Amino acid sequence: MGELTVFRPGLQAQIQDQGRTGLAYYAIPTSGPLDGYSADLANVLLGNDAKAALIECHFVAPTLRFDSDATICLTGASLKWTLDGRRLKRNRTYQVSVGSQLSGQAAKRGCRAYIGIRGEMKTERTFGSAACYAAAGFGGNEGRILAVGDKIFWKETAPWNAYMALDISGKKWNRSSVRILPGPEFLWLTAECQRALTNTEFCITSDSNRMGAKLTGPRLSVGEKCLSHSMPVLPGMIQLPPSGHPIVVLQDGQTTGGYPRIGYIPQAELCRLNQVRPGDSFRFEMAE
Amino acid sequence: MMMPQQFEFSMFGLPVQVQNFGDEFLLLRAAGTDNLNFSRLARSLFERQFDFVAEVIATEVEICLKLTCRFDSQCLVQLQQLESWPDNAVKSERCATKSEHSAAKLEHSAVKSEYSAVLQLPVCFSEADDWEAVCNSTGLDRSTYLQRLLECQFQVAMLGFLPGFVYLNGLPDSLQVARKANPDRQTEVNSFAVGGRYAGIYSLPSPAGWNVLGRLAVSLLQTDQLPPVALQPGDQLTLESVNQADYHQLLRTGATLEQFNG
Repeated sequence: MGELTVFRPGLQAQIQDQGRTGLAYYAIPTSGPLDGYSADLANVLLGNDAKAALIECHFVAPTLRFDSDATICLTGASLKWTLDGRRLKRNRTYQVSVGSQLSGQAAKRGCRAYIGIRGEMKTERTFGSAACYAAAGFGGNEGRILAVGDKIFWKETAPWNAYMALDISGKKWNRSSVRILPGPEFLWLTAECQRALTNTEFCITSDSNRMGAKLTGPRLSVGEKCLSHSMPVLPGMIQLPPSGHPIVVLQDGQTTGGYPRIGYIPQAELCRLNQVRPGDSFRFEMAE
Repeated sequence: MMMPQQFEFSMFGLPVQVQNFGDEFLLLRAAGTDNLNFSRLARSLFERQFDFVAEVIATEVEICLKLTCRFDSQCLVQLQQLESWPDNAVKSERCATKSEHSAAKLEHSAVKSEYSAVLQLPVCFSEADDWEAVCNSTGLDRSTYLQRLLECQFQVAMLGFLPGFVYLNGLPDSLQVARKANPDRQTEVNSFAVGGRYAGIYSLPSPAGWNVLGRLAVSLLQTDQLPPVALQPGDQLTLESVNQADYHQLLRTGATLEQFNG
């Protein structure tokens, strides 16, 4: 059994896997990584099952001590990872020896990073998934974010000494705009606000979390219109509360809501939005 | 701009409006006002577990089908060819789902009992929370509002929002209060609140767009079973006001709704 100990918890670091799909009918959110692309990439490079659990880090790197040998892969935002002081690259596998310490710094670009470990993580599963859903206190690591002294265990699979790496420094990922589709109530926006949605810059506020990203920017309005009933929402749905400042439903988000749904961010684009740091500006762009 | 494509379907003989949002999700709306059959349609779509559907979200007036990459135009034809209700849906609205869930491999347990009687929800109404906003908005004082609230016959409208959240129909116009402009504060677990046409229960802490009036003395959410709440659309409920002492006593014993009504 592989084992590591949390030395410093970072910020909101937690266990995620692909989530509990198919249970939104019971108002159970899917959860899962905020940047599913980066999480999948780590598991692919490690030769893991696509559904393998991994550690999701937000903004600040945790410090982890490996109590056994491991094969790891770091993906997502750059947290200037180091292993016993030696700089590590992202998007490639590393062999880690027992006693090594993995640490890093605050994110400079992007803000969600993933630590994948070759093998199968041994942790709590709720409704078939190890994805931590801290709001309800279920899923991996007793349903809570990592804390000092927490241990993470994994069952080692066959040795994987292959060096695997992928260069993803493509232009596609450096676009600053996030593509959206018009949401069910898009046409409720005044003509001016329809234009403002894609012509003006938005920022994510710092009181956002895995449930929703609150935006500041132009104040949008649907006039006097309001929904008579609560309606379905999905991760990626852009809701407009009466305050005029949109909220993007994220992976731990609710399954129904009463605010007009002015736009929708497809999953691949949501990965990119979730890497935008609070305070950094971005634009929405209508998909053609 | 990619505006949704619209279709008129007949599903199980129900006229249904379908909108396709870029092959990402479909929204289904009943063209008529037959809520019960619309809820049956949602359940039936959920139980069929189409490989091109990742999630089914059912509300009173809309069903959302989140699509997978297996979705193509043939799938719309498949949906249109749904003509007869599956047997188990005809037999009973309350039937247990025995189908194995593809991802979770969990047995969807039966709702334990057939609640024929009206269930009582024990609520400890607070003095603070959002009472001031509710009184200002309705023009009623606290005791009048509370008295009318306790006279309400509620029906479970749907389960949605977050695990353990229950939407209740039956709030008269005079007691309705608009949702907050900004969902500001975190609710505590098991908060009782009103929002627009609904009353409801927040089983989990969450940012609340609704106005909170008190705390439930029992917990509805069970994370070791599916469905995670032993209530279904149509179940009848009334509120019972309990004082602080009884509230704390009930919390200590960890009573369930069933035990409280036992």
